[in-house]
Amino acid sequence: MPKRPVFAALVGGAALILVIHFKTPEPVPASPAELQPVIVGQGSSPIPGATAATASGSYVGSVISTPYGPVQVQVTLENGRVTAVEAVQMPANDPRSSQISQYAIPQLIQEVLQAQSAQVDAVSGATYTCRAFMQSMQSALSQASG
Amino acid sequence: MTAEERPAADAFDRADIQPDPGRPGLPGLRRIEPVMGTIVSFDVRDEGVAPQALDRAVEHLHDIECRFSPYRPDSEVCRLGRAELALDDARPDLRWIMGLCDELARLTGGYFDARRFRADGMPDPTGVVKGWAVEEAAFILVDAGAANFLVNGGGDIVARGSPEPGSGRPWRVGIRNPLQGELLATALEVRDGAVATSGTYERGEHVVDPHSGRPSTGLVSLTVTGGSLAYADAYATAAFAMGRNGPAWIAGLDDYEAFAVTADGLTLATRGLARSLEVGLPAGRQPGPRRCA
Repeated sequence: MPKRPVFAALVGGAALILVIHFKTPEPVPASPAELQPVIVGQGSSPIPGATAATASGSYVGSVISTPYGPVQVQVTLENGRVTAVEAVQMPANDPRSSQISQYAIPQLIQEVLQAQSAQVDAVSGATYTCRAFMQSMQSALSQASG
Repeated sequence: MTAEERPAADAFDRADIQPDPGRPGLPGLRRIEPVMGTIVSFDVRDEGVAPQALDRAVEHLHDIECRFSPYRPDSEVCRLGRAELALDDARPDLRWIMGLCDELARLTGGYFDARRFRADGMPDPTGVVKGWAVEEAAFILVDAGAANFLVNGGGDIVARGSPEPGSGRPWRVGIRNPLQGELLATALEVRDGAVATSGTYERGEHVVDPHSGRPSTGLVSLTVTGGSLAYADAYATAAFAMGRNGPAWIAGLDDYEAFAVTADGLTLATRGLARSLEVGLPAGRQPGPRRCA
C-alpha cells in the first residue's frame, strides 16, 4: 500500500498547519467563517436568561450581616436602569454606614439581575458599582494607614 | 476587639455573610468576600462540605493579594519590580505566574503584557492573578470534597458540576450587557469551566492597547469561556485590547470561545459558542448583524 504513507504525511501536514494556524499570535481580521453575529434579547422568542430593556420596579435584597449589624437595601429600576438604592435596614449610629451600604450594593445588583431571570445562577462582568466600592475601600484603607 | 474598634478595612475583610434567606431551601454554603479589589462570592451546592473549606479558600485569596498586588509596596511582585527579589529566589507560584505572563505575551503578540501596563515600571500580573487565584480557591473546595459549586471573582467565574447536584443541569451564567449595565446580554451554560469578561464598564476604559498606549475601542465587552480561568481571564484582557479583531483571535484558539458586544451594539460569538447560546432563532435562519435589545 504505497499510498498510505503519503496520505498519512498529508494528514499530518494538514494537522500541523492547523495547529500553527490556531496558535498564530497575530490578530486576524474578523472572518464570517469563524465568527457568527448573534441576536440576543430581542425578537418574538426572547431567550431565557436575557431580559427586556424595560424592567421596572423595586427589588429588596436579602439581609447581609456585617460586624456592625444587618444591612438590607432596596434597588429601584426604571426601564432597566437603577434609579435608586435605599437602605431598608442599616446599622444604627454607625459613621461607616455608607461604606457598608456600598459593600452591600454589588451583591444587591447581582440579585436584581438574578431576580430578572430566575434561571441564571451567576453573572459574568463586574458591576459599575464596583467603582464606588473600590473608592470606598480605598478611602477606608487610606484612613486605616494614615 | 469589638467591631467598633476595628479599622474599617479590617471590618470589610471580616464581614460574615449569612446564607441568602430568600432561598432558604438551597443546600450547601454561600459566602461573599471583598478581596483583590473586588468581591468574590462562593456558592457551594454540595451537602456536607465543611465551612472551614471556605475559610481556607478566602484566606488563600487574601494571601495571594498580599503577595501579588502591584499596589502594595511590600508585595513580592513589587520587590521583584524593584529588583530586591530575584525571580530565581521567588516562591514557585510567583515564578510560575511570571512565566505564564511571558507565555501569554508571546501567545497574544504583546496584547497581554504584564510589564507594560504600569507607568511606574512595576510588573502587573493582575490580569492573570485574579483568574488564577479564583481557580486556586476552587481547588481548595475540590480538596474539601466539593463537586458542585461556583466561585465568582468580580464577574470572573469557575463553575464545577451542577447547581442541582445529581440533576445534570449545567450552571447558567448571565453575561451582563455593558450598554445597559443592569441587564443581561445573554446566558451561557457551563458544567466544568471558566467564564471571564473584560469590558469598559468594569472600571472605566481600563484596558489599554499596549501597542498604541491608548484605551482600546471597538468592543465594550468581551467574554471568554474555556477550561482555565487564568487563561480565560488573560485571553479576555488581550482580546479586548485588540478591539474588533479580538473575537476572531479567540476563534483561532483551541478550547476557548468568545462572546462580544461591540461599541455600536452588535453581538458576536465564536462559532462553537454560537451553537450553544440560546438565541431563540428558528432553525436554519441565518442571523444578520443586529442592534442589541
